[in-house]
Amino acid sequence: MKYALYLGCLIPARELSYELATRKTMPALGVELVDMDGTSCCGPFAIQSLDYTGWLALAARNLCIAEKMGLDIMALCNDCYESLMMVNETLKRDKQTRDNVNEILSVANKEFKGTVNVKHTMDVLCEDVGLDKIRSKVTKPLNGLRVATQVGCHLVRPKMLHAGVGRGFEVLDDLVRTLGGEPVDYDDKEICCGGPLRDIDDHLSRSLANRKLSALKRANVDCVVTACPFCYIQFDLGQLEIKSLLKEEYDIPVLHFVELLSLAMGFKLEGPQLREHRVTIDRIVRKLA
Amino acid sequence: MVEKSALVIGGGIAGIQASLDLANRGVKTYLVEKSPSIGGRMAQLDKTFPTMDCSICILAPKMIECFRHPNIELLTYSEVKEVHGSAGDFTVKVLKKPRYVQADKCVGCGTCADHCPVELPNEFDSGMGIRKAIYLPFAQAVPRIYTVDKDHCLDCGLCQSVCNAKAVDLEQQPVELELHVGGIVVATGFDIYEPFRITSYGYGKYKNVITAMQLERLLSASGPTGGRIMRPSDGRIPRTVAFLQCVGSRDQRFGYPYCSSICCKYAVKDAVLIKEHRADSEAYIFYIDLRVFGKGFQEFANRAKKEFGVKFIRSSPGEIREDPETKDLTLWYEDTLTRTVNSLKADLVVLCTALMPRSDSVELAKILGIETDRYGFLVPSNSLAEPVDTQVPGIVGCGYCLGPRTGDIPDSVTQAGAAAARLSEILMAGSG
Amino acid sequence: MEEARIGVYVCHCGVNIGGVVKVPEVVEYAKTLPNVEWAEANLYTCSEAGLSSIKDSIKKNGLNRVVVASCTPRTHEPLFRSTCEEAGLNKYLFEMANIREQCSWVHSHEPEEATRKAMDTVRMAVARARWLEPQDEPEIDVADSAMVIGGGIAGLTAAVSMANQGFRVHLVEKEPQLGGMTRRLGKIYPTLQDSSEIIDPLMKAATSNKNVQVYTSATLKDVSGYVGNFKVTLKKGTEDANLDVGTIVIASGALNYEPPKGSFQYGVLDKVVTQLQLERLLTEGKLTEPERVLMIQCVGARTGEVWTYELSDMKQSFAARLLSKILGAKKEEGWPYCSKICCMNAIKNAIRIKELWPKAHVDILFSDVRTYKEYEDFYRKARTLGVKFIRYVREIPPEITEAPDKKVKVTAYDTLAGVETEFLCDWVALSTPLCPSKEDVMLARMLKVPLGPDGFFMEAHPKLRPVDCQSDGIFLAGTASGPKDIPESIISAKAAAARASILMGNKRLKAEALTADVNPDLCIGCGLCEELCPYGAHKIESGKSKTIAAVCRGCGVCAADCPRHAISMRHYSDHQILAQVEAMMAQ
Repeated sequence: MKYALYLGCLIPARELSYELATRKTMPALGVELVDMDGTSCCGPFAIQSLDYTGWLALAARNLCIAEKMGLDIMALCNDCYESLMMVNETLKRDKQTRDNVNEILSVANKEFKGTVNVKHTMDVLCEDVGLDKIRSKVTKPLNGLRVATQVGCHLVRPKMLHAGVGRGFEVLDDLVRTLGGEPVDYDDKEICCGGPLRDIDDHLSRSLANRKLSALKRANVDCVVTACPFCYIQFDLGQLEIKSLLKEEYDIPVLHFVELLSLAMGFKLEGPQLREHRVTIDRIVRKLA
Repeated sequence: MVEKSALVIGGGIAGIQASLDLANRGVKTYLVEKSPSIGGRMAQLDKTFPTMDCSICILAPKMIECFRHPNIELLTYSEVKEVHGSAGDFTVKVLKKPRYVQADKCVGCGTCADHCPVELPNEFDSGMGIRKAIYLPFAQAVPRIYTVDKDHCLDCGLCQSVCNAKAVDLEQQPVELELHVGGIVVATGFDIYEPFRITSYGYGKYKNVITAMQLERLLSASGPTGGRIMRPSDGRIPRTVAFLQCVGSRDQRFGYPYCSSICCKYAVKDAVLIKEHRADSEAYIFYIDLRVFGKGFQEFANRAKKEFGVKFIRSSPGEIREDPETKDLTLWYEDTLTRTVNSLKADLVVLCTALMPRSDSVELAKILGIETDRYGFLVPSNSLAEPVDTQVPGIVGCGYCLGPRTGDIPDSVTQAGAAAARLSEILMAGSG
Repeated sequence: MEEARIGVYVCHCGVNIGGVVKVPEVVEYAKTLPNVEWAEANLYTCSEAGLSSIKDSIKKNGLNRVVVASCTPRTHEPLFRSTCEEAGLNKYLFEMANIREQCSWVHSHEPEEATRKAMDTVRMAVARARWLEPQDEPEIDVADSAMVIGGGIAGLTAAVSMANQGFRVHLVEKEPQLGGMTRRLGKIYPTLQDSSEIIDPLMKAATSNKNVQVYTSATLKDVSGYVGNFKVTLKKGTEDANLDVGTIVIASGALNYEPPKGSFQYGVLDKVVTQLQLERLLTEGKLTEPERVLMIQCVGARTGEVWTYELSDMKQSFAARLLSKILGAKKEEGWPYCSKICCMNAIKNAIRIKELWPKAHVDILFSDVRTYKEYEDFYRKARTLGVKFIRYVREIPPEITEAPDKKVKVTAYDTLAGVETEFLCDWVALSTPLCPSKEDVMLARMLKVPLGPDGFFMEAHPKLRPVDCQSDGIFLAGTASGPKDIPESIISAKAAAARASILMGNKRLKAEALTADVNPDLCIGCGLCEELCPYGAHKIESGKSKTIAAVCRGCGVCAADCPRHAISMRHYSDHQILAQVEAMMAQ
């Protein structure tokens, strides 16, 4: 299994632990990741409401790079994944739109041909690697650790788009179970974390995060894992903000799901990786050591 | 008693930099400049290679800094007449030539020049432009004080009568100053060889054969043509420009046997500027060895060829002939690489001539008691180990007056720093 | 905040601006803007007349903000700021609008639009000026000691110069002995004296100077801090030494490039050596009288050039053969620049050989002979002694093959004679460039200074600041910044010493006011600013972010990313920037 690795903008800048954990675990599971040269921003999902064609061209340019490499894309960030995947499918199916976009791309000497697919890390883990193989690689099982999961909206919404992939909110729960943990249900599991509202309506964004965090507290979880880097910020950095502004303290460790995977597979998290977490995850690391 | 002060002779970029480095170090510095304004050669250039910075734009802030620095006293239109003493304790007699304008009254408005009836070719534009007998050498002159060229003045008194500030004083006398300084920096720069004797090139005869400095003035937005390259005979913008390298350099017959170090580099720069001014123009550089060494120059020359289409011909043309009607020129040359004899018709020919010592460099050296070489450049006390020191301790040199060296602006600036360091060692020994 | 009284000065800059933009119209427009109490045009605002005019009108009209619409702030902002100070205004109450580089120069063919754009630019500058506030500049202490990295000729020169002025100098050399590349040379051009005559006295001067502390077999382990206050950790053997210095001089030198094995048969045939290796053989007396020595210039230098002139000008058949050779040639290994000293170096060795063995043939294959300045005499001397100079085509490396009797056969196209020539040589010397070492990358990272595109250390400005690094307090000496010969290295080292001495001599330094300002009430100590700051200017202490003003370069990354909007930039507040944006949108 070989994929072109699409890192996106946020993870390499602010969540190096996410990237590092991915680069450690995937090869160990038999997935080869090849770096892409010359990628740009994916063209986040929301951009289409500002400039539809611009969004298509921006995403398509990245797809062309993968096409030239002859590899499918594995994206880390949920938004990148959904954006690239949607543009890929749209251009594959609609010739008129494809022609329009290719005219724009010709300036950059690129042409979209529709020869590759886009997957999220979760897809690669569940479909290509398979939960059985993952289980076989677990050396430090989670021993019933109470783990809540936050899948992130772009992996599962709109339902119609992702129906074909067969993915729902429980997809991370399966992974947790495979690693030996206990996925814990909690109120408001399916609502948005409020991430996209940051800087637009901080008040609403914060109160959504607060709603989810207090639900997690009520559910008495050991930690929460996220797939989306934005959800991570809402839960992790968000706890500091909520503590300062709403005077509520939660102290719930937040991990990227690949971090939990790497701990379960026996990898160590380095100092800088641990320091990235505003809410310390030391006790989780100690529990699994 | 070591005098914590220094004298810098010459207000070009080397002298300016040396003055700033000394002044910032806490040394009181007298900057003596023969002409009415500091700035030197760099002020005459249009753009500098290879960065293509506007020359006066990067120089002017330094000139103003000199003017406003509490530790620098500018003595322009002044000359050093006598020097006695030794390192740490020199006595210098400086003659402040009369400007016939009172420095503390003149505001630089230029009304006097507007009314002056005398017109003559100006030195700053290398003879391509006009100035009056009462003049400012160039627009960004520092200090901005007008000067009367008594040799050409008619004594009509018009300037005096129109000056609102009552600044003109046609009876002004020279003033002799006596300065006590600890060290001296010589930074008198260079003159430009004018190849009248190379008759086969027609310089001085053919109007459209000019020197590179004259081209700089044509290219310059502050020059006589406002930056439009209008050729001297008819003002047409030339389509074909030929640059001839090593005119009076590397020459055993005319001029000087040394290499002037910077001409190949500035020829490439000027050729690129020609192409930028007019996209359909052709620029030819006739060279013997293309000496584009130094940081970024080889790469710049590559770009000139590849991106701008400058043509390079390895040849030293034998003769230039002028068409008496059109004033166009024809060059006859042997291309040494194809071993063919060809001719090229050009609208404008630019001679990249040698840079030579100032005509009064030997005289100044005598006053200072230092040696000059057979050309007139200063001789360092040890060309390898003490490259800025002269034979007299406490007197150092920097810039082109020391000879071609690498010759370009960074070289002069670096040498100025080295000169300042040497003096600081003497003047600030052990004091920190 | 006081009511803004703004003065606007629009510069003609001779014809640079005035030739395109209708300056008088811009001045009239400026007068209509709210809070503008004074507007005038200047021919050259940067000239004495312009500056006096600014000062006078500030006083006469009680102005408290100044806008100059002229050229780039990069060259002239300090000048105008000082002028404001002289008129009694805090220098940060000054705003500059660039209507030359960003207007008249790029829109020189559209005077109408350029004039409108100039008006827009002035309106935006005035909008910001309204909200400018006076700022204080933090003062930093500068320690009066320096560290020189590298004990070669440049490092020694810089160290001695600073020590003679009374500063303490720590000279760090990674080799067991001082002297660097100069010690490895035999003779020096053009005097042909022994290199020891230059380097020995210098080493003695450094080691005997009581102000110089020499550390040999020592490397840099870590450097932190900022100008005036660098904290250095050296590694000497098994021990660490800690130093506090005010300035740093980089004199780490350069390497002599060795071609890859097989290139020009280097590393394959014993008799194919680099010029430096030939020099060592000569100096150590290991060379017996040769019949012929051939030198090839520009090996591994000036790569990427295409200087073959029009092939159509050459004889047909040969042109075709050359063309196929050029097209078949592999991508050249090496460096794109000219190393400046190799021509003289080869000629030096050629003259040495000829003076030792007048009957020996010495040929130099050259592309351009770059014996600049009075080195022209040296070139002439070589020719007089019988050294032959043959111009070859650089894009086609000469063919080098083994010949009987341990000789080497070289075939090259002599462009001036117009024939392919064969040489049967005893030695082939490849003149290779000085090149940066890989360790420079580590050193550059440690000191947080950039390397240029050629791999050498980059100066702050190639023309006017050739020995300064972009980071304050760090200077360059010798070949670390590019190829140089010995006098040039010495000169650059003295200049670096001069610049460092200015800082150390003044004992205090003023930093720019444009620094990050953290509001502790809003800060939640999340540490994002600390993580993102490229200069290490933020530290989280007791749950809040603290800024080290001296290190902060005002880039604004922290302010842009702070999740609580707790950071604003002094002199570039959100309010000021948004005022400009709104002014831009307005008509």
